[in-house]
Order: sequence, then C-alpha cells, then structure tokens
Amino acid sequence: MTTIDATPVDAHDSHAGFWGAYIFSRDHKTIGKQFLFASMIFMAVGGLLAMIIRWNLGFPDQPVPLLGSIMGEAMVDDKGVILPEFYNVLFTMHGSIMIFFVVIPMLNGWVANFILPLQIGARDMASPLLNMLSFWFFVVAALVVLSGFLVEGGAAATGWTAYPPLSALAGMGQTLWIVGVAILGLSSIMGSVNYITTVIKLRAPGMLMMRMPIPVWSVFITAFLTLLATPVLTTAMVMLLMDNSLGTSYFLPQIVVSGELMETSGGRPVLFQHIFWFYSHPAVYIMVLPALGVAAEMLAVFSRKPLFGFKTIVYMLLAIAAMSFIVWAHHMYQSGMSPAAAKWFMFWTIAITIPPSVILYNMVVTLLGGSIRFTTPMLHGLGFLSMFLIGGLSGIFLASAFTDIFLHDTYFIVAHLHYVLFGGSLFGIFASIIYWFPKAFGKMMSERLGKVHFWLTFVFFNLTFFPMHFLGAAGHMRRIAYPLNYDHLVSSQLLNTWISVSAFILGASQLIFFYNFIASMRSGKVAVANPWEANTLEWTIHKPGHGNWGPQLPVVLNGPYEYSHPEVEADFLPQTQPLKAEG
Amino acid sequence: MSRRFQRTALWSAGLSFLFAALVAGAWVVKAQENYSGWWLPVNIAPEYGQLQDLMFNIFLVLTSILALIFYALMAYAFIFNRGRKGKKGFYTHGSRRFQLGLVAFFTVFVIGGEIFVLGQVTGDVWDRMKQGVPENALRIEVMAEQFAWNIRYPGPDGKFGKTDLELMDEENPFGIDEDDPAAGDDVVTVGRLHIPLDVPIHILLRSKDVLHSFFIPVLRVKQDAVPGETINVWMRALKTGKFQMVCAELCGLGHTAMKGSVVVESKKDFQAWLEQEAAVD
Repeated sequence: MTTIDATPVDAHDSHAGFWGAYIFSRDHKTIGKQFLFASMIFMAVGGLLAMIIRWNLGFPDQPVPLLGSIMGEAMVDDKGVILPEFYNVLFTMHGSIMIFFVVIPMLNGWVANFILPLQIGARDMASPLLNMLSFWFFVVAALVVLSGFLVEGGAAATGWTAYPPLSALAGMGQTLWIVGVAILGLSSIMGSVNYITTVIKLRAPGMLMMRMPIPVWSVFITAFLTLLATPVLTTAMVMLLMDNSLGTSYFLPQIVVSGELMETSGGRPVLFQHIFWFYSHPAVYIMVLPALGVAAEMLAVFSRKPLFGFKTIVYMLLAIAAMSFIVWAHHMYQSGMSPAAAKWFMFWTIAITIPPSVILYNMVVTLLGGSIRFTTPMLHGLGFLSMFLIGGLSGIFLASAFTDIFLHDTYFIVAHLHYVLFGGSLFGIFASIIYWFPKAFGKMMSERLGKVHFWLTFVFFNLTFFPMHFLGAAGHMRRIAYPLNYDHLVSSQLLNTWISVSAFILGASQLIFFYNFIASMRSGKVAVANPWEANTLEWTIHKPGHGNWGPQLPVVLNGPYEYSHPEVEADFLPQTQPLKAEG
Repeated sequence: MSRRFQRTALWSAGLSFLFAALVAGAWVVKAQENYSGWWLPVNIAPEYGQLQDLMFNIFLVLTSILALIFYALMAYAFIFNRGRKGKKGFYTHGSRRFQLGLVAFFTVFVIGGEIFVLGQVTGDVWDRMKQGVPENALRIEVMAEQFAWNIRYPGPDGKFGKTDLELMDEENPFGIDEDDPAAGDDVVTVGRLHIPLDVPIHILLRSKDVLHSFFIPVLRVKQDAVPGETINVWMRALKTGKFQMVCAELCGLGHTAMKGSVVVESKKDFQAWLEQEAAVD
C-alpha cells in the first residue's frame, strides 16, 4: 500500500502493453470503466428480455415480432408465440441480470471503482490486484449464468429468488445459475474489502471522515453491508447447489413429484428463504444506497448549496445499514413462518422508513433557496429523488403484514420494486455516468440528447410502472404468463396492453442514451478539468493518469459542500483551495 | 438559517398539506365508486377482509399526503430557485437543532402512527387471522401439487382418513390409506372448492411437491403451501357465487394454468352437493 502512496506513475501503464493496460488492468479507473461497459451490455440484454415479457403480457397469443422467427423451439411455438415455460426463463433472467449484473456492478463496480479513489485523493485502490480479480470474477459469474441459455432445458426458470424445492429439482440451467451467483458473491466480497480498506487507509492528507463526499460515504457503508451479507448468500447457494446436484436435503422434506416419491427428507423449504433474504434484504440497500449518494451529490452541486444536513445523512445511512439486518422476513409474511415473528419484522420494517425519510427531506431542503442548474445529471438526480419516494411510500403497504396478505406476490410488488430499482437506482446510475463522463473519457455527453432521453425515460417509466399498482390492487399475480386465464383479470387486460406499449417506448428511449454515450465518446465536446464547477477532488486533475495525481497528493482544506460560501466570490470552493487566498 | 427561509419553508409545507389532503381524499372516493377491475376486487370476507381494505385506504391517503407535500416543496424550489448566471445559492448547513427536531419528528410520526394503527385500527386481527381458527369451523384439506388444487372433505363422520406420501398416485392424490375406517367416506375433488355461506372454514393447507400459494382474491386470503408442513388457514364467505382461486407462488412450467374455483353456496345446497359427491365415491 505504501508503494502506491509514494510513487506516482505518470504514464498510463506504459510498460504494461495492451493486455495489461486495457484487459487485465489494475488501474481503478480502467476497472471502473470495464464494469461500466460490461454492465451496459448486460443492461441491453436484460432490457430486451423485459420487452419480450411485455409483449407476451400485452399481446397474448400473438407471435413475437422480429424475434419470433429466430427464437428456438424451446422458446416459442411454431407460430412464434412465447411458450409458458420460456416465459418463466424470461422473468427469471430479466430479474437476475438486472439485479446481479447491472444494478449491483454499476453502483458497486463502476461508481465505487471510478469515483472512490478520486474523491478521497488516493492513487488507487488498496489492492489493485484484488480489484482486477473482482472484475473478472464478475465476468465469469455473468457468463456462467448466461450460458444457461445454451444448455438443454434452457436457463434458470425459478425466479431471481430461486426458492427450493422448485430450484432444487430444476435442471442444468438452474445449476449454472446457482454457481454463477456464488461466484458473483466472491466478486462482491473482494470489492467490498478493497473499498473499506481504501477509505480507511488511503485518504489524502486533510481528508477527514466528515470531509468525504456523500458518494464515498454511501459506497463505504454499502461495502460493509456487502461484506457482512454476501457470505450468507454464498452459503445459501452452496447448500442449494448440494440439494440440486448432490442429493442432500437441506431444504427438501419428503416430497412426491409427478407421482414419484423422492429420496429426500427432513429439510425445510422456508429455511432457504430465511437465509436468502438475510442477504437479499441488505442487498436491496446495496442496490440503492450508492445511487442515493450520487443523487445527493447532484442536488448539492447543481443547487449550488451545501448538502443540507450532510452529517445527519451520513448517520442516517449508518442507521439504515444497521437496521437492514433485522427486517429480512418482511418478504416472508405469507411463507408459513411464525405469525408472531411477523409482528417483530413488521415493527422494524416500518421503523426503517425513518432514516430514509430524514434523508429525502434533507435532500429536498437542499433544493430550497438554491440556484438550481437543470443539467442532465441534475435531472436524473431529481428523478431519483421523486421516484424513489414513490417506491418508499408504496413499501409501507407491503411492510404491514396485514395489507401484505392481499398484495404479496402481485403486481403491486412489481411496481414497488421497479420504483426502487429503476426509479431509484437506475436514475442514480444515469446521473453517475453523465456526471463523471468528462472525467472518464475527457468529453462531455450531449446535453440536448441527454435531456430528450431523460424526459422520455421519466414519462414512460411512470406510464409503465405506475399502472402496475392498479393491477396489483386488482389481484394480478406476478410471474404468470397468461393473465387472461383468470376470470378476475380479464377486465384489466387493457391496462396490460397500455403498460406494454409504454414499456416499448421506454425501452426504445434507452437507445438514445446508448447512442449519446458512444457518439459523445468519439466526438463529444472536449471537457475542461472542472466542467460542473464542483468542489470534490476528482475535478482538481484534468486527465488523471495512472496514480491519479502528480508527485504531490492534494491537501484537503474544506468540506465537500462549500457552495456559494459568502466569503468566496465564485459560487464554489474546491476542497483544496484555502478559504482566504494568501498574498 | 434566516427567518425568511424558515418562514417560506413553513408556509409552503402548510399550504401543500391542505392541497394534498384534498386531492388524496377526492382520489380515494373516486377510486371506490368507479370499480372497474383496476382496483381492489369485490370483498366478500367478514371483518378481517374489510379491515384489510380499510388499512389499504388509510395507507393510500397517508402516503398520498406525504408525496404531495414532498412534490410541493420540490415544485416550489423549481419555480422560485431557478439558477441564473451570477446568482448564488443560499449558504446554509442547517443547524443541529433543526436536524435533531427532524429526526425526532419522523420517529414520533412513524412509531406513533404504527402503534396507533396496530393498536386501534387492526388490533389483533393479524393474530386472529393467522392463528385463531374458530372452534366450530368446517375442516377442509387442500393439497397443492404441480399444477392442481386437490380438495378433501372429511365426509359425514367428520374425520379425515390417514394419508401416506407413499400411497400417492394419480388416482389417489392425497395418498389416502383405504384401510383406515375413517377414510371410507372422505370426499375428494380437484380444482373446485365448495364452501357453505357464512360458516367459518378451516383449511388444512399442504403441498406434496414444491411451494404454492393459496390465494382467493375476493376472500382476501393468501398463504403459501409448504411441502412437509400443514398450515392452518381460515376464512368465511358472506356472499354466494363462483369465484377465482389461484396459485400465487411460482411453481414451475404450468404455474400460469394452476387455478381453481371457489363455489360459495347456501348450507343446504352445500350439504346436498357433499352427499351427492360422497355417493359417487
């Protein structure tokens, strides 16, 4: 670690060659970009799966246009209509890809890797080797999970939650899924150890903990969640793998499948759910907190105001992290677990709304009295703020075990989780990409295209996911291929068609973003060192090379949010600039 | 913080609160009267079911008000705090007292609301629903399998015959042991749950293979069926008719076709149907 601190390297891995510089790079910026590119590819795949899902729900019994003719016979019938068994694959893989290979790596791979060392004034991660391994484990994990599409029986089809006994009885695609997710767990653990160590050991002189910008804080706190929760998931996956392939019965009681008595006994299916959600509830915060950090940064920078209640936000993030470990069973109110235990989880689940409420309120007050610049990253930050709020509020309906009886496993849940993960996380991710694009690629992304993309996304996101609350209230179950099969859902089919059309426009709008991303990288406006006039350290260097800073590390003198300070003429005060100019 | 800043924040919060309450109220009333299949379905359950809908509406009003206050604050900032070149923002970090007050407010609001709602509105309904099966309830066994609902009535003797997983096959979905004298009069049907009107029904919920979820929207009942366990569910129907019963937990290839119907009929009709079925057996 000390060697990184002492020796700046000016050239971009000059002696490393092509493979060392771009493929097996140990530079945190390159690894961050690798996570970004890979996740964007997976985002396209996951998005495409979502489009096919929506086609099947909005236009049942009609052949899938364009794709119908090229999809294999395990996916569609001879007319090109989706088979129900492939529908199960579609939503399973859509969920798995979006959660494990888009949202988590975007936030804890791209944002964490690219931003964290730059914002705390470190030359690189504490362990560049571990960092590189973290990326490659992630790639292997994704390839293993996706290779399920190529094996007999198709990819995993038991939902992203993979509840046994179904998942324990499933075939090769499911086995690959389990192995892939376990490998991803290793990648996450490697990343989190690195982030924690880097923040604790490698801050620049003067970078006190309370001078760290909020994205760093959120990644830092998230890393603790990852480190504590992910091993539990890995354990669950190993046990499930043994049930699936080696004939153990951790989660399997004596069961009869298609008239045949299986050689299983003594296990409990609900046990898996406890272990799985013990990871996956903190994982919900792993998927949201860094995005919240990014959005809060946008609000402060573009309101030209200090982040209101900065320290409170940090403490509240810590409170969320701590409380996230005692609410997991609110996913299981109707699972057959003890109804008495449900009340304990209900109490804490409703109580966990307190810290996010305080944070969101502080974020809004940051806007008041500001001098707001509506740039694209700011719009996405505001998108996070307004949409994550709806996701949080709809959570209250589900937190109460009593109302959850009806709403559990309906589209109300689907609406809720998309408001959190799309309306929350994804807007945060878009903000992070656009905001740090100039630092990553030296160019600006087009503001005009960016705004078109934002407004289309924002409008059609709401037109797609808000009506899903109504579907859920009408008792529309999730994970069903043919809603028209059910008497009580016939009258809501129009709503399903409406949602599908909106979803197609929402999906198509993302092409604008991809185009803007690639075109701006090639021929965007050349960026200056500090295009957003922000305070944090990454904007003090124009084009960070290997080791980020020259011989001298920056010395931090101020907090990160000294915007519009009355004693400074400009409306920002970089963290390295003394408040009173000397001489 | 300056006086003016505080006053503005207070005023905008107050006004938007009023506005929000109005809009939310109108919205709820409207949604209730124009039932169109896009909202909570008909509710034929007694107290426990009515309370679920009441809670839903309380949450709806509460969250709508919170959301609108929030959006009003945002809108205020968008209109009055637009950036201009050379215009600086208002420099404030807030005060410790304000932050403590904020945390205290949300804590009291959320925990207080929780205690009020749990204590005054729903009380111990959750316990009664999940654990308090009425003594005199009619017992019916439901065995879920891929991809059907098997239903068993104890017959005139009121006793279920013994079952064994090893005896299960297509002819005998429950694996009923025919040697047991109590088994002779058991009535087994598939996918059609007949229940008498206004009689508490005690469902002994089981699954033979994977997880399923027993969901009857109009009765506001949902419970996962877990292999290896027998879970108690109870319900009561206040209206006759034929309603949808579905599986709400992903259970494999045929999940989307796993459904059944609930037939609620008068006690007399029910008794007649049961006797007829017993005779067929």
